[in-house]
Amino acid sequence: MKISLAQKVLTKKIQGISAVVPTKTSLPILSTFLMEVKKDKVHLTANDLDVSLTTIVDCEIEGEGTIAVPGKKFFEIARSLPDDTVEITAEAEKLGVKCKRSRFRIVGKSAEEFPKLPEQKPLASFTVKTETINSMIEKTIYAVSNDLTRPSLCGVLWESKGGNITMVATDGHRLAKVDYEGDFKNLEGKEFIVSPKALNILRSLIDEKEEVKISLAENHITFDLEDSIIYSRLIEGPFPDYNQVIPKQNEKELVVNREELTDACRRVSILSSVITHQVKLSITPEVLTLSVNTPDVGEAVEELRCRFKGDSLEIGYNARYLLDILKTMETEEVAFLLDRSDNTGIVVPVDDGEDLHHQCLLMPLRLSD
Amino acid sequence: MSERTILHVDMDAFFASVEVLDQPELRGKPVIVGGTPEERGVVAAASYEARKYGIHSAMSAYRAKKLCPHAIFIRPRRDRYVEISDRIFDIFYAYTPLVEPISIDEAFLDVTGSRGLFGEAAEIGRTIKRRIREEIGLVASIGLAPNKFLAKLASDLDKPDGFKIIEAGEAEALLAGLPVSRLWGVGKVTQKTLAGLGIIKVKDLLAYPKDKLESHLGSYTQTLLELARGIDDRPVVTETESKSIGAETTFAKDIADAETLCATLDRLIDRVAKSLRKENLLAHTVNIKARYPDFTTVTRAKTLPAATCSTRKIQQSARELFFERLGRKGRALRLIGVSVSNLVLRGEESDDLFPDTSKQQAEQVDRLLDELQTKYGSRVIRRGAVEPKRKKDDSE
Repeated sequence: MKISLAQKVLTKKIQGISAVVPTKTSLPILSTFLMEVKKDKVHLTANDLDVSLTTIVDCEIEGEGTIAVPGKKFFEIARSLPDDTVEITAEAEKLGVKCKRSRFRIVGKSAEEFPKLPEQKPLASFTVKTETINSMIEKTIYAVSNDLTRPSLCGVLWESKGGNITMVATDGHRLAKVDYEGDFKNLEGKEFIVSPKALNILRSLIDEKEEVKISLAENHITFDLEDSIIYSRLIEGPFPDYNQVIPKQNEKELVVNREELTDACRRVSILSSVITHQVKLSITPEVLTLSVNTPDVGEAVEELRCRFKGDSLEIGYNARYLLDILKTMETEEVAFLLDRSDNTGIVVPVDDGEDLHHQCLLMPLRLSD
Repeated sequence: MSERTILHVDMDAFFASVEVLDQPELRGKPVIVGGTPEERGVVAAASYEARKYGIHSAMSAYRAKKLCPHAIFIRPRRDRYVEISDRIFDIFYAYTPLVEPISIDEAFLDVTGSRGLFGEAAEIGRTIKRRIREEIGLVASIGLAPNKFLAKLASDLDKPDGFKIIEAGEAEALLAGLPVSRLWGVGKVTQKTLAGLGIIKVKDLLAYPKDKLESHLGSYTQTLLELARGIDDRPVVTETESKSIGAETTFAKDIADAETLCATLDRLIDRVAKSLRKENLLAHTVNIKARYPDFTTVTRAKTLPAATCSTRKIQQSARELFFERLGRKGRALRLIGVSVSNLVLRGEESDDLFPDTSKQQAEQVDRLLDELQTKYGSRVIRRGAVEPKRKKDDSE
């Protein structure tokens, strides 16, 4: 095996797949990259058994071969090399790296040891604009749970009905849902849960691409970006019946300027409890008052203009959760659909003229007085 | 901050009064709760009838017997006192969430925010006093003032069966004639230092040059002078804000055996989780502590994805910390401990959109075990041992 390519290209490609390499692992082979040189392409793959990322590198090829390379060392070397052409060779599980006057020989492992991706027949394939998928992930991924005792909540649910795709994420305290009106007939009725790690990797790679081709198989999903392929094991369901917890009778509507609310919430929450992050919303027809009162820390109050239909209401939220939601909305105004102070609230962007419909649920905190 | 209203509630001769409550035939007699004269015990509490003979707490039972040969000595029944105390604190919490327990029978209540709701502060104080008498059958002394120091002073000045209000305006005049030992933090040593300067009463202290005082008392001077004027801005600190709950044990002999350590850890976890549930709290963080024979002490902490009071969840994290994060490598330990921190009151956390049935079941098991153990003692039922998750180095 012998290839040569620019140091900058090599470093960038390795950095890309480094995100997959697990920081701690009991299986040493997982801390390596697989380098496969076939005909006119070099494939670099990292795999943590849940997510695998393959990136395809264009370079000059003089001989084929495969080898598993210690990921961290190889990345450090690539990064430290001068900006010139790097020549890489492999022989008997040793990797040779040459660049200007530097020479390295790194002990690798047999490619045979590297975990193979299971072959599964795709159940459905579809193509989505990267801009759309990026926005959908951004609007949901923050709500994914990290409670490993509830595995189905540790991913983003994708489901398709009537040609639309819906993504939902929840940790039990908040829920984010986004619908995309499309024409995904071959996905009809499908439901699957995708790991946030795969989605974050996808987001980091799609900036220059127009479209992503997605294939769904029984136990995994593949995102194909032409020069990178992400393969991810699906998270086992069932995802809880989220439709059942979306309130249907929240008739009190609070409309408020998104940026004003974000800024005010950020300010008053400086003094909120470091444990509960509680902020109180006191809502009257024209004025929304955000307040925080934390014994031993202090008090903060800020008033905002608002429009509110309904009797005055006081409700407590976790300020961080509220800010997470506001961050994912782009409209000038946001609306809260509320019922009682101990009921789930709904937050939606106002006049969301796009083809994405975005909705968030937020559980209230009990007010201490 | 606007003018505060603080109540100091102090039960009169609490342990002795509970005994009289449970055995009415003791009423009017000198009752002493504590150890007996025969076993070199100490007086824990004495009824007012016994106090007439000069008996006070911390006195040796032998001496108490000499002072009052017909006194009735009773062994303390701590569980019963805790039970009555819980009922008294429930009355406090009906008027304000800001309750700072000082001991089993004494607390500060910040009723500033409750005034509109339950009437004037004095009325709240009198209602609490009345409810303790009517619902529990015991007598409390209550002090009401703009701060903690004056509230405690007020209840102390009018004891037993007292109810005293100290207004902000009258504090300085009232304090002037009192001995300096009434000021918070003035113990025997400071009292002696001050006496050496000719300072006996509070008014002497205020008349003394501040800079000279500073050379004797240092940074404490400022606080002391403020107290002497009746100024004290310390807040009422509720239990949940400051508290962590923990349990630890020092082994009689250093222990290296992973199984024994794990069993000990489980027992401590059980105790900690049980107290959490009893206090109606949830913990966000689990901490473990290990001390090696050379006294180096290592701690590890883990923040949980969701606050919990479940024995199982705390056990999972504590074992992970102990077996995977501690890096003990088979070394022996002389001490092992578990604690939970970042506590919140149940209900301060938001509810779950998707109540977890396995979590609910685990909670039921916890509750059932707690009830059985409270009723029949901690030995009646225990969680079965689960094979601990171990790293290789532990078996070496």
